[in-house]
Amino acid sequence: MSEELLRLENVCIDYKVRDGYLSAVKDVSFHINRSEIFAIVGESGCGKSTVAHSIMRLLGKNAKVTGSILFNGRDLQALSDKEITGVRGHDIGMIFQNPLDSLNPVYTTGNQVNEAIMLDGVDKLEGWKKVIELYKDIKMPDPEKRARAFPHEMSGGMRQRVMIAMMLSRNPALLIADEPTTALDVTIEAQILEIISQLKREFHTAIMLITHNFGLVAEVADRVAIMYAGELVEEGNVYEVFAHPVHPYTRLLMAALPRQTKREGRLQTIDGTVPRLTESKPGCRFANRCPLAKEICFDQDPPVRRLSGTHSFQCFFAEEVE
Amino acid sequence: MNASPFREFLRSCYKNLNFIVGFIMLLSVILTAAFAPKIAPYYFEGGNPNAKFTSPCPEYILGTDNMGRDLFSRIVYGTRITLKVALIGGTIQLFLGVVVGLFCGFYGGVVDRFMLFFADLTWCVPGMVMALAVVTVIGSNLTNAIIAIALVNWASMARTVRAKTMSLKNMAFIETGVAFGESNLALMFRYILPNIVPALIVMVSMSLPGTIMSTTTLSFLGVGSQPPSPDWGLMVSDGIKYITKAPWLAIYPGLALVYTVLSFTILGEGLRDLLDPRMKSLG
Amino acid sequence: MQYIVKRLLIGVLLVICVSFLVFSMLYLMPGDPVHLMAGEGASQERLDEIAKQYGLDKPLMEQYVNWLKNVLTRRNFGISFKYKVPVWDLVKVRIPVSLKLTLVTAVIQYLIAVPMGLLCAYKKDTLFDRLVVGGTLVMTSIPSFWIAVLLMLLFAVKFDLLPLSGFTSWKHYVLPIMAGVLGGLASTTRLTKSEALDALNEKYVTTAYAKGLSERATRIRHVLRNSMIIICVQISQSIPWLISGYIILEKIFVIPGMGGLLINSIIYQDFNVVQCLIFIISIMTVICNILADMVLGLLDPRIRISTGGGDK
Repeated sequence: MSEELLRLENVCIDYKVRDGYLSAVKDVSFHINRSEIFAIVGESGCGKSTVAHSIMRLLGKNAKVTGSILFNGRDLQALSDKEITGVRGHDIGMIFQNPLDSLNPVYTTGNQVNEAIMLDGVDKLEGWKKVIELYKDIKMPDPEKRARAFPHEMSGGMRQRVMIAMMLSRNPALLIADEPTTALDVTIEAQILEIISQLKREFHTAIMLITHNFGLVAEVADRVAIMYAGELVEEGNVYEVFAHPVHPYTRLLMAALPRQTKREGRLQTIDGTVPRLTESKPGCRFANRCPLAKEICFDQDPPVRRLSGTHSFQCFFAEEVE
Repeated sequence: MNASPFREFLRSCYKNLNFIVGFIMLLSVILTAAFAPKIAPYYFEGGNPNAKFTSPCPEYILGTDNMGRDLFSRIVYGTRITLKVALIGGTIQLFLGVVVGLFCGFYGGVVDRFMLFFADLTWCVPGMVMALAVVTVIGSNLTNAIIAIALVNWASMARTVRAKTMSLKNMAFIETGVAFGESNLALMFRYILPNIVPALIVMVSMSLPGTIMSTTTLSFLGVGSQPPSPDWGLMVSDGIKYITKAPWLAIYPGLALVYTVLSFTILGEGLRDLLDPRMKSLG
Repeated sequence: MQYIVKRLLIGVLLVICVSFLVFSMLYLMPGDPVHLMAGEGASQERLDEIAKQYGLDKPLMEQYVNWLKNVLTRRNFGISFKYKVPVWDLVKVRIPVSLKLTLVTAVIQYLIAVPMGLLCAYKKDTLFDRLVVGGTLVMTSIPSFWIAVLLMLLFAVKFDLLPLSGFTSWKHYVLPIMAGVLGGLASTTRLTKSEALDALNEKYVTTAYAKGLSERATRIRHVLRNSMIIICVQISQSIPWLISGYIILEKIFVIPGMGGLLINSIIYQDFNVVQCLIFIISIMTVICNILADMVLGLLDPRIRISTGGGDK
């Protein structure tokens, strides 16, 4: 069951900016198994989306990626442009945050899904039938009519379904979902989540779910990683992480969640701001906001420590709170 | 006024190559205009009847024309005309664009619709044709040509000002102003206007090349400056008559014009990068 | 359809407004056409006679309505003061000349500028892009009359390959068209580049890559297709502006088109001809604008829906 599909090893991503480099992602390592839902959680701008795009090699020319990204044992960074084009859509699909911008306004949605299907040598009519099938799979109401509709004639939820259908059409082993429900209503969110869970059950697709919503993670994910300012601070089985959050950032995040049980309690906020990441100097990036921080935190990178076989974190002092 | 943002601005100016190059080029034009009598060896009128069509030589660096006038001196004096065109034309357009744009954007409604229709009228006829019509009516001379071109060009500036005003109108600081009981005029000119100044600078500097070229073209067509004015457009137009005999007469005034227009264009590009990077170059 | 009809009505209204504006402008002119026609030192009786003959003694509104009636029913734009022949006879032979030149120029210009602009966008910040950007910057700063002068000097004076002016053989077309093409090349290239760059940064391009489309396919099916919307609109709208650009070129190269006639009529204050030419050019402009709207509707389904008369 837990066969490894994707592995990131010491991935660093720097953006070239006007005066030097911006370290968006620093030394991130994790893996995703077949047919599991792996969630990456973090505030906006913490680099989670950058990680997702780097897997597909969809980052702009100003991004520099180091470390290795292995998919089924192949280093995606080392592939030629032609080879990575073959991987995209075929092995790894990706859906994005804003489903309106993500679809081309001048083609019908069916046409855009068919465009992907036809890449596998299927002819146009055959592909169109498959589009209708896919629309039925994702429970699109009135699939024939919707396939002939333009993106602007659809609601946000429907557009996101089109994106899922498009990325599903070539049966990729991994689907990267970059904040798939952020731009949608709560009711639509539930439907999209249902479809994502269904993908995992019926098609055994592994899903990398990127979100800032802990509730979503608890609902669907198997494993979770928490990112802060480009660093992966804690990673593990969802039950373990939710039951025993270890890293101070995770704990603060959990405390900040509004709970139904604590009606009276104030929403806890975290003091301080995310540091500007112009230089990749050593030290824990959370140190300036961390309640446990000592001098060493500002000078040295914290070690990766394991709590169990499936739960690890990056901190010098975290366990002292236990 | 804090000094550091201004110094920051100066620093980015210093780094912006377009700005520096454009600025130096324009400065050279302005200095030439200011010291024209010192630079030009002859006056722009009254030539030497014995030296007609002299090709470029040490005595007449760029040669002489059909009346024996020194081409170089005439080009030097022509700088003044071109800068006058830029200054007056730019000012009229800026004034009309700001006033109309502010009022339309601020009040909206009937005023806005009426002005938009009027602006549409100027879109309905190509600018050069409209300018020619205006000049026909008010007469052919340089000032009228400048007015005609400005009347044709102000609409695009008004549109931009209008759009910016509309987007600023609903912002919190305007509401604060309303709450303080500021008059509409004060809101427009003391609250909104300062916020669109950078965009205005960019717009003006980017519209000036077109203004200069259009006005010079009117002179070229014979409905702008009249002889014996050393207007570059007029000089090129005269030069074409003798293009086989004395090609320099058509070349050098044009070259001076291109240099001047280019200085404004490059400066405009630089200013846009500095002040309003999102603004597209005028189509 | 409803939308087109509406645009057409607005267009007619605009043309009438423009013609009235021009008419009243010429009416209010300081120079009196009656004096011009009668010549120097004509007697008062002679002046009155001419004024009556051409209906110039009536009030403005009546004159305008008469003029419009004559134009619409009999294509009668009056008599040219200078040439003493009906204006329409003078103008009608010149329209095809200008249109032909303009269309050929537009086609050549876009065939060069669009690929160049696209290439610049695709190869942004390469040497090619920088060269073209620098080139267009210089080109936009050269007035078209000076481009014409340079071309004349190069091809007609220096190498004696092509005739300087006149309009009798195909060779006469080459220089004016070349000047026309060069005049608009820079701005079209810049527009294409900025449109293509906008399209390249769209999310749907990322989607296209993500689903596995090759770079080539993405650029053709998504970037080119979407940037063509604005470019096509620009093409249809640019025709009248090209006509006005040809005013200058027709004068320089002595081409018997509308532009040359317009500028001469303005210099000779031949108002009926001026009025007629502006009327025709404004009609062409309106037609081209409506054409541009139709092209936009055809290429962009978002517009197609909203113009179909339905709501969102």
